[in-house]
Amino acid sequence: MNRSPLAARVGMAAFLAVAAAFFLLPLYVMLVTSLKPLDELRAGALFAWPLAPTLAPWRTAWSEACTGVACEGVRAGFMNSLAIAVPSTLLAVGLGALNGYALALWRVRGANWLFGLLMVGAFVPGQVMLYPLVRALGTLGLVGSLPGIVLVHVVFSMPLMTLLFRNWYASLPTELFNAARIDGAGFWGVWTRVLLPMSAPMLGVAAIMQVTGVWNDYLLGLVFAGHDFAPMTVQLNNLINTSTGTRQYNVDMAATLLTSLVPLVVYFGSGRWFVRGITAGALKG
Amino acid sequence: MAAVSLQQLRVNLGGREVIPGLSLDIAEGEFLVLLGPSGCGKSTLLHAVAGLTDIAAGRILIGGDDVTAADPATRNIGMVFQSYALYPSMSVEKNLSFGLRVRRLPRAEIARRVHDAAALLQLTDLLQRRPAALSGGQRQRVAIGRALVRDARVYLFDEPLSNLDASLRATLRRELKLLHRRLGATMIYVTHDQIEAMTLATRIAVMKDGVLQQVGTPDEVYSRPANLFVAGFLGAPPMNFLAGMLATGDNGPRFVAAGLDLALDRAAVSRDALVAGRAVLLGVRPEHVRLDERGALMARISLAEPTGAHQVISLEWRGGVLQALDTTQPPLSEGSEVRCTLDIARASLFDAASGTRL
Repeated sequence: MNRSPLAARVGMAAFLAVAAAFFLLPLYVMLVTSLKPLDELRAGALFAWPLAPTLAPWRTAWSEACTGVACEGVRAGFMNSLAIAVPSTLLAVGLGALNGYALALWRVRGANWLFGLLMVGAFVPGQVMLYPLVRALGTLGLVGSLPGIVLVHVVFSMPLMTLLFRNWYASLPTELFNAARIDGAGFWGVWTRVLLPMSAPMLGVAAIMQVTGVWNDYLLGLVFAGHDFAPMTVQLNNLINTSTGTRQYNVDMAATLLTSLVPLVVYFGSGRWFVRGITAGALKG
Repeated sequence: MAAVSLQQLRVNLGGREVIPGLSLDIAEGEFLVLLGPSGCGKSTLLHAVAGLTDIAAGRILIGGDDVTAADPATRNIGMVFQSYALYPSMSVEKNLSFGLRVRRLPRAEIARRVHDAAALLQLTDLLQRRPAALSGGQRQRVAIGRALVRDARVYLFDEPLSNLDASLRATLRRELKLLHRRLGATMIYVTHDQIEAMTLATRIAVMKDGVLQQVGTPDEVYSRPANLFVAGFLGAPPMNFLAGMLATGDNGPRFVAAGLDLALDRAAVSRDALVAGRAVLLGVRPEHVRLDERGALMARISLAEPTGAHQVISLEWRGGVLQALDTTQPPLSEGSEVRCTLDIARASLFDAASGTRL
């Protein structure tokens, strides 16, 4: 790579710069729009830096904008999303790790069949299951409740979580598992005392994927969370579609940025870790 | 510590029969080495004893208890693995004490046993380190210590030294031998390294294709190999094999081959087997090819391989090539003509067809 001709390196840099600009430009527009007062927006200079930057649209989006009948901003949605994402992540990662452990290391009868079925499940579009799931949860009286939406998220995450952890545990040396068994540890002992402490990278990756996945979800939240637990994405949609008078683009942008804040923070805060976790299994590091 | 008894053990792996019915009794305090080439089923047999591999038929007794169906955790065994298999997230101390903590021993007892094992294996200064901060030899000593603290009834070793470099291997081999002498514990040790087998074992069990070829003391297995496989597998440089025929002479049975006619009156062979006309192979170890000026065998040294202490010479004669050890000073040079004799009293005779010892 170091010896590649100058032109190739310049070309590469130029391409990367263009690609980065392509993806960053919308973000830039959103950011500057959210900082401009309404009359400045009407002037129409989309890419211009705000002349009189203001945080007012952010305050409005957070606590005053109307999301339907109520006008309390996306704050309530933020708390709902938090209430949904935390248990959904903990349960999904915990169960996924347990599943992966059992499937990878204990020769459970029919384990391969079970795993195959789970993978088939991963390829069936979620929309197909929507109606049966609504009926099922309705029978259980869980539609529109926090346990209901958490259950749905956990169930939908199982194939991916199981796959991640199964491959992770299969990549660990079997002798470690055998040594722990000979040392007297049982099913739970081997997992909690030996393997889980070694699983930090994969636990991190799985948690990141699950948090962002649940946070960005719109459809499941819309269908199963009901009015009381509508997540931030659903409230954002309501906010943007609630039209009373002028469209407040600056507030819409601020609300959108607020909604995507958690995934953004997670990615920026853990990007390097994320990559390390994905490769750790392959390199047996 | 306890005796181990394997009775008609059969093991299948992935639909293939790896061990087709094997019986072996290991006495209390014995150091039994399972020796054989890669893929001969020796590790599989060890895993079956540990309970890590399911067996298709047969019984396993440890100390008289039938453990055939028992979980590895309840068999009360200690095991050392080739890859050490130390718990990477735990310090050396935690690694050593893991099995004791799992079994909920009193804290003082755990501390005492860890302290003793660490002192025995010179690990005391390393107790707070993580496995990643240890050298290969230290890691293997921790792995041995982890098995020892358990006070198990039998200790299993699965090629524990094969990941170490040559000098470290020799050091740890000596330590293991001293350890066995001091503890007097029952040990089963798997290896493909004949030096390890010869130096460590009280008995060697040579395996091939899941079948025991010979079980005996190192001297028995080396000096009186039961068949051609055992004869060829043990010894470096390997045993010389000369194809020939049995004949009857004036002074009793003789071995006749191209350019060779040897009296067998001093051979360690039962007289009944010496039927004239039988096709046989004469096995002579390189150290039993004696350089002797009055010897009947005339040969030319076609290749000399110095090893430091002695040199391995290839002797070309009418009947083929023999390998011999040259301990003379100064060493003989390539191309020189020598005479030699074969030490018939320490040679082996094998049936050419079946390969078994006569």
